[in-house]
Amino acid sequence: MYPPLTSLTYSPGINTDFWLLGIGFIEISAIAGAIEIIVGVLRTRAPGMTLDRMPMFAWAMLVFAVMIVIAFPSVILGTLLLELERAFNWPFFDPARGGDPLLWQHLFWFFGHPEVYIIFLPAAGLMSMMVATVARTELVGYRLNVLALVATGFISFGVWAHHMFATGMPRVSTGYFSAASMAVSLPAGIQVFCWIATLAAGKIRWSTPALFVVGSIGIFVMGGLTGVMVGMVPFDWQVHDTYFIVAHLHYVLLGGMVFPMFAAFYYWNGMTSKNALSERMGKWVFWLMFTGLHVTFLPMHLTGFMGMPRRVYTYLPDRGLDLLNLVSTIGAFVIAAGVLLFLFDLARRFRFTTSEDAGNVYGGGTLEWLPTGMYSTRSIPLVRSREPLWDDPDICDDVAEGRYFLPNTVTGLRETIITSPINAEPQYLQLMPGPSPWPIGAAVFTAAFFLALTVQAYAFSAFAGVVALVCVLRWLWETDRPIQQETADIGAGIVVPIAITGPSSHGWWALNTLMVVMGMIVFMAIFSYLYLYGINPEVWIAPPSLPQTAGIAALLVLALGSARLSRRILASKPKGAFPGQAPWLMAAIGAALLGAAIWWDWTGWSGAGLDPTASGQGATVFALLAFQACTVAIAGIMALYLGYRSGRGLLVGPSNVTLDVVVRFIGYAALQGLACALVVRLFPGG
Amino acid sequence: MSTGPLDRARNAMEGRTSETGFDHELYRLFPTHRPRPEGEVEELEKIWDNPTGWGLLTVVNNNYIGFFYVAAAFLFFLLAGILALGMRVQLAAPLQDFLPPDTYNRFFTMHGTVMMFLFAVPMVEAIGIMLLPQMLAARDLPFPRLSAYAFWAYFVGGLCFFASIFVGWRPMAAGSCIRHSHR
Repeated sequence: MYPPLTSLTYSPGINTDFWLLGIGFIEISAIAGAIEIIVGVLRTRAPGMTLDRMPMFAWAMLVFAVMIVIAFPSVILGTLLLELERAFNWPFFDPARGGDPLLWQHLFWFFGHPEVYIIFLPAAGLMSMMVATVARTELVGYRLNVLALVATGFISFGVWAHHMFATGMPRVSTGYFSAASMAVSLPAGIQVFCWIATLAAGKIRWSTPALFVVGSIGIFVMGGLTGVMVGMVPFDWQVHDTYFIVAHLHYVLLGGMVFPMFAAFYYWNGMTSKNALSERMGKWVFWLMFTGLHVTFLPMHLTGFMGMPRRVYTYLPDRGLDLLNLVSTIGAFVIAAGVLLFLFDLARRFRFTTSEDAGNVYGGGTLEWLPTGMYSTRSIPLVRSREPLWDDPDICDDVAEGRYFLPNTVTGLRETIITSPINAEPQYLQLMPGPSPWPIGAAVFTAAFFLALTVQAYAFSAFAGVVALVCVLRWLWETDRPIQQETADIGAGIVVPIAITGPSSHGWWALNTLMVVMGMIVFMAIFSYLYLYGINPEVWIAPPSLPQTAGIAALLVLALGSARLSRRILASKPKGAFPGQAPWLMAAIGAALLGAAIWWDWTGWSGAGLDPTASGQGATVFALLAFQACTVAIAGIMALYLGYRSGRGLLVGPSNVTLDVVVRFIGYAALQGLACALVVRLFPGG
Repeated sequence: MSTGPLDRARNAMEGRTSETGFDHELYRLFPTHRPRPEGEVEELEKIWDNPTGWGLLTVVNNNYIGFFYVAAAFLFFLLAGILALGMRVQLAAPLQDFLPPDTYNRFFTMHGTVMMFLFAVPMVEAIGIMLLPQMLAARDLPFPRLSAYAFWAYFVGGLCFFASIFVGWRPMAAGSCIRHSHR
């Protein structure tokens, strides 16, 4: 999908648009899930489950979600820019007008490489948990493993350009990225050694998950070794775009993700199915897949060395490739036979249930093996160690008999305990929403919105967008109900507040995460702006006058102020009192000021003679402005929603979650507007 | 003794100090001994009960959404795997024409894209949604409706995306052939 090949000149038709919008849309869903996971892991752990006692999978998912939040905005921006170039002829990637096709590669691989670890880390978390259970001993090097997860996350953001060795980067950059690529194999190696040590320390019971776990370690190590080979620049030049790369990436992905996933299917099947899966058949599944994998991909190392290029639909006879390719094809069908057998076993044995599950078949020690129903556990246990079920033989009975936290319902609604992020001390009781048709409605119409965009049915697209928005607002409507009860007894006489607002609330944490996502999009857009300036500064024009810039900044500061004032006014009201029109009006004024600022910013640039289709500068500046305009539009809708709620008497003093979210978003939009306006107007300046 | 934020965090993490002012002595009260009143479990069951039939489309509980999510991601794994088999048949012998060049290009673009974006990332996220609340002993994830939204958006969008391979909108390998005139 590299421009210029994907530009309108070389890829007409809607195929590419479909790819771009489809992928962008699916990533929005991934980000929604990531926000959920970050807040879930940090704020809904059982009391006493400090970060140091958290299951490895939860650690892995936390790092995973943080990486998604940082990496995915980059590719979302990349797809947006390419779509803007295709739809409106804004030349981000057109070197003739001060764009640069390599910008796409930077944006794509800043996401693309962490993506590999994004897939690998959760699987590694699953491995760490299953390794401990199949070896019947606790994981060797828990803290080292956590450190390795976090380090992988960090380093993986420093290696994206190793996919671009062949693009003629400066030698210093090439050297740096090569070194970083080798450094990233260290934490992965640490984890593998921890697993091997755990398996060696314990006594392995050779169940199906154990086979998949051990098999995946072997496959992953083989893929890792060829990865280190490819990390060396001269070697990469030799095998670039050959089947050697195909073999490497399949070893890494199958060993690092697919095999752990199958292990996890067998291991956690007992949590959701009435019957355990067949062990005998499981072993067949493993051996078919394991042999098939080597038969398929081992020969590809050789065909790669012989120079067979990837992505080509055929090859010439008598080049020594015939037999090896036939072997690969046979191997692929052996893998398929393994997967088919797995499906057959699923059809025969798997029966979904939430309460009468097969249970802890393999003897795991973590909380998911407590007796559960739809409400999860009857009472929420106090966690005193990393494997509570191994260390406290009575815990299952105590939990089921309600001898721990929240053995009942306090308010008669769905609820859970929110705990503090580090130490998991109980903080307050969260009320949770129940079943609702609005999320699925919103999802279907969001999909329709994007689909209609690709086929250029703009009117229908706008309609679907509005319906999706209404669905979202409708689903949010009942999530912030005023409640009579202020505190709750969550067991043993411990009393906590219900549904609080402010910096400790889970909503606040989710909003902050969303701001990081939006901030990353702006950050990468500013990177694109600076990058294009560095490539081709001569086509750039002077920005509008300095007083105008100061005026825009002043408007934005005022918007920030009025948003803050809105919360102040509400906070000054007594408990339960209706605060009048002032709070939502102040928020609406804030949103209006944002609108005025972006309008002035936009017309200012047009007045200065900047045209989005004329140059890389025009394209990036107007892309930033367009993103800010969308943000402002959302802020405006939120302010009106707040006004409507206020009119219905749902906004009462001294604090309110909806108002908190709206005014914080307006404040964020003001800061984002400041960043967008100031950076491009002051640098490089006149 | 220094009390920078890092030290405070470490002390709290190792359970030496309280992070929020919560008295850790209270933990000694658990497990409690007094018998619980009758009917509490039944009430929990009633509150967390799920709609059935068409109502399943409205569920937000992580047990269901997580399961749907895993199943959907696995479906895309199978579909992308079938594309891979098609490519391997084409490559089993030299100069075959089982898949014409542009179909082959579509197959590998789709295979890679679907495996990465519709299978791998959603699958690990799905397993997370399914397992995390149980592992952390929470009753559900903090924003159940958001996970329902994320799942349905992914599922509907993913199906349409995959279906595009059959209706001629399929993404081609970049620039491999120019057939449609634009607009």
